[in-house]
Amino acid sequence: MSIGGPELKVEYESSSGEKVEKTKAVKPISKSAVQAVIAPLEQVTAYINPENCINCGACREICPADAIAENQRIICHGCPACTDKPGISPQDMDDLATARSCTTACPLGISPQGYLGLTRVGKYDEAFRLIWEKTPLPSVCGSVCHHPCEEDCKRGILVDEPIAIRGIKKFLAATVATEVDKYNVLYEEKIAIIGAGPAGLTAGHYLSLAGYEVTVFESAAEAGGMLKRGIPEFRLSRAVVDRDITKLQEAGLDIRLDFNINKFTLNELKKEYDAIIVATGAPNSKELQIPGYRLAGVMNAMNFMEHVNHGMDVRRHLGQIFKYKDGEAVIIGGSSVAMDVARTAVRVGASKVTVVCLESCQDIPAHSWELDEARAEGITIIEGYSPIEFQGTVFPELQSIKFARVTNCGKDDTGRIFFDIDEEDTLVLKADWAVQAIGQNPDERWKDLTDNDIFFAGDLASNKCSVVDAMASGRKTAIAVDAGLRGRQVKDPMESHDLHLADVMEKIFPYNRRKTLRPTTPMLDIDDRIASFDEVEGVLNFEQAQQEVLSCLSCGFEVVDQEKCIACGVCQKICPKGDVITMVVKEGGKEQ
Amino acid sequence: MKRQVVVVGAGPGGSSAAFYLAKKGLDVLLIDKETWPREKVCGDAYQAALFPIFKEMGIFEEMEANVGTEVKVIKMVGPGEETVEFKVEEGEWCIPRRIGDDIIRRSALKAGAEFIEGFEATKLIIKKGQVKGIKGFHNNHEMTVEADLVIIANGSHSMLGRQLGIFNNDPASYLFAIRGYWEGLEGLAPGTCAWIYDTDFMPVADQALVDEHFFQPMWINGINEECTHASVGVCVSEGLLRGHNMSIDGYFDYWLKNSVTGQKHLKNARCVDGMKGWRLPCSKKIEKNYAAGAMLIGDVASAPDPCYYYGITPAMYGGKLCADVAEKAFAADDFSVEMLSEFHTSLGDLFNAQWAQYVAIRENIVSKREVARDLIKFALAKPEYPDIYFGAVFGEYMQQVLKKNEGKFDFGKLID
Repeated sequence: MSIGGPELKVEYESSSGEKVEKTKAVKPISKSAVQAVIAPLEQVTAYINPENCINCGACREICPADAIAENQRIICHGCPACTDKPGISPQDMDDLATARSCTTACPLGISPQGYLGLTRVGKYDEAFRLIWEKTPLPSVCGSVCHHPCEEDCKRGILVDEPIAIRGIKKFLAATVATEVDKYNVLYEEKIAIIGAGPAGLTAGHYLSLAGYEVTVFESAAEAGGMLKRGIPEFRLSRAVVDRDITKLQEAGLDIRLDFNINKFTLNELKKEYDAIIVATGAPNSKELQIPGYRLAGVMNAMNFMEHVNHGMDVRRHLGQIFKYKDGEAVIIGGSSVAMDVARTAVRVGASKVTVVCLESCQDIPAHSWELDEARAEGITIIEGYSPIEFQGTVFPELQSIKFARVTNCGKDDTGRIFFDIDEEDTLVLKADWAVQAIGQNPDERWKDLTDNDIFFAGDLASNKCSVVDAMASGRKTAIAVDAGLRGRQVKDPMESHDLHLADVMEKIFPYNRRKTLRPTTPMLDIDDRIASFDEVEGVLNFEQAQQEVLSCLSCGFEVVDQEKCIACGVCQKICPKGDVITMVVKEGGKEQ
Repeated sequence: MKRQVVVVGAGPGGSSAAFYLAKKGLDVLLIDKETWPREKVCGDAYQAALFPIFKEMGIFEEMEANVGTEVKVIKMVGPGEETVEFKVEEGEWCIPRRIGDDIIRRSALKAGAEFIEGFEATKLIIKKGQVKGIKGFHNNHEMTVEADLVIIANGSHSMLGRQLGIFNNDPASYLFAIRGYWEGLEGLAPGTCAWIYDTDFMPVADQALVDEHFFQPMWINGINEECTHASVGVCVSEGLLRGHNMSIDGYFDYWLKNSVTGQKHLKNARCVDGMKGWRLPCSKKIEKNYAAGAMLIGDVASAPDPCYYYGITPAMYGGKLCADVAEKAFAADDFSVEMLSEFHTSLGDLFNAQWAQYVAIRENIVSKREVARDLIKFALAKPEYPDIYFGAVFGEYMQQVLKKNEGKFDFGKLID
């Protein structure tokens, strides 16, 4: 690990008489470090310099004594002139400081402040590695993560706009050409993972990093799962997914394609592998089995996206009626998938695209920016209607869809949606073709399995359905597998991560940190967007990224609990920035 | 990928095979090249003979709920517009194949079969004369499935059947058919399916040819209760088309314009999505339908019957019987030709006698147009045998006649 520090210039004359200039790095020697050498061990402690700390969390996660905790600075919010947002009371500010932070928002436990800080000081490789250790798919996260970190960014909550954290991650993934370290096999146990989607790959990555021999079985001809089958190309280009997967394979992850496992072949796998993680996801689209759901022209989201994503000629076979080339399309559903489908429908040439969803306004499950992007592309969104009948000819072809107004819509305790409809109040929309995008059912083949050496990840383990949540679930399962095989409990950073309030002296004054302009992420023109499947969102350039990371308020930093510190020095070794941690004599310790 | 059984084609034959195989606890993979539910060019009729199978598969009620027309009346139109209408107790069900086949497929999945759609099988893996699996394309990517047993049920265009050399490629034995969905039909009573054998529309010069290929009907199968919407089509042999130097859609158009019956029912009707065609391989008896490590069911085994041209019934019974043979084969771990030939025998026992009867009747009627008229008259005079009509299942009475005449069908002795 390189340690930043002053450089010493040496000038001398060589034997031939030429003047030679050389620079030599000098390790910084602080006064306290000298003291530490001569102090007895019990009086030594690690010290984190709050000014230099970028809050990446590496030391906190590795500390064997649990001595390091994250502190959050409060942001001065007394005078309303400083910021665009309304003021809040000091007590509320204190509460907010410890309640929300980008570092706790990430389902994967990546510290955004960490890689922003490393980017600021020009340590791009270290910034990339920080992400890579937490996610095997940094480019994918950079493109399609729903960025809960940006929702919790205090700059966004209190000052003006949140930092473009996902944009920085995308920039790092796209520009840093670091070679990743190969996995080391430390243990004899072999682990099989079924499904090379985000959850399976993440579990494989974590277990490989931990030292197991992992094999990932994928039924399709390409790894990536929903990233390739479900997400349209204009949101996540295939090159981006391939870049991440190639890196994983370079690191040594064994991915076997075209290898479909079912409950019969699973028994054979059990003989060879010590643990099996099933991460086959939710590949089957839900269907409203209302009258007429088998009409030609009624499709489900997965079938539709798969056909488009694989560039398949949809009229290839006699009798296959897959009319989506033109005409009026109606998309049923209000999720992110429904928006993806609608935007894809625009691109395949539908003359008019309408999205109809149960929920209204705030309750629509799709993110607000997704709705905005969909509307920008000319898609109409009708809220508060539920389909009750697909109307068509007896032949059987779709002609129109009948909807009824939703009167009461909500979610029960188990997360299932419930609603009432007013059958008097109906709406009939003409539809040449329709896509049902009302969610997916988890793979049911495995539901009877109860063996101790079989684990579930991704959609099979949790109800959350985003890419990042699937990856988080993969990591959680990997930790459980490791715990089961080794009989140890690896610290899950997300579960033991509390925020503490920093000293009031560390208060941030945002006024002098106001940014002049948030660099706008390069986007395609609307006309170019709907004409092709090119990725809509571009990558920040070098200057934009540098400008953006400078805007980070650096709310958090790590603090060592001197009582707990055992002075092992691991934190100093792992720190990716290098100039943060020093070993000092404890306060109140006797100087010799 | 390795499986115990792979079933190629998820139509009624493949799906019923997958259903019975999965019920026997075997590891079954069902694949189909289409995205389901899929369209199918067909007369859209499910015969009453299938009802016991539907009940076994637990889909009888669901099928019944989706029936477009439950056939109560079979209307036969002979040459010279002679018409006879039969009331039937348990008639066939007209359900668009897109809907009916999907119900059958889903029952296979419920039974535990694994299903992959968008998988087009292109080649068999054959090692030492034994079928060991298939190769194909899934979503445009090449894919291989190894299996102990391959059930081939992917229709008359199958490349796999051809690779085994089993597929019956005799032009004389197969027919061409086209079908279209029509709306605005007139003059059909609710619950009617019409079988039209009016040969008078052809010019006199062509009558000999028409007589030779007499047994090839037009059909109008209503698919709504009022019978204003219908599946309309025709089956003809290659010989007839060659003789007239016509394409099959040309033949249909000619019929539509010149036939009195056609004009009567379809004059103001409109074809919804064009006429679509397919090929129908029929044979006079069950052809060889097995090879080492493989069994063939449905159209690929030339199983549609030689008289009705009904394909679903032999396909689904084939699916059921092949599962019985497969169970024995897996118990003995033997997939040799000898083991699997039992499938051929058992399916033959079920259908060959019936088909021989059809063929005998058919050969007696060819080139005797007056016989057809007499048959209609006879049928009208004998209400106790309502199942006697052209090309239909000749019932118990007819079997007695055949027995009496040592298997020969003598029309003169029929009317007494």
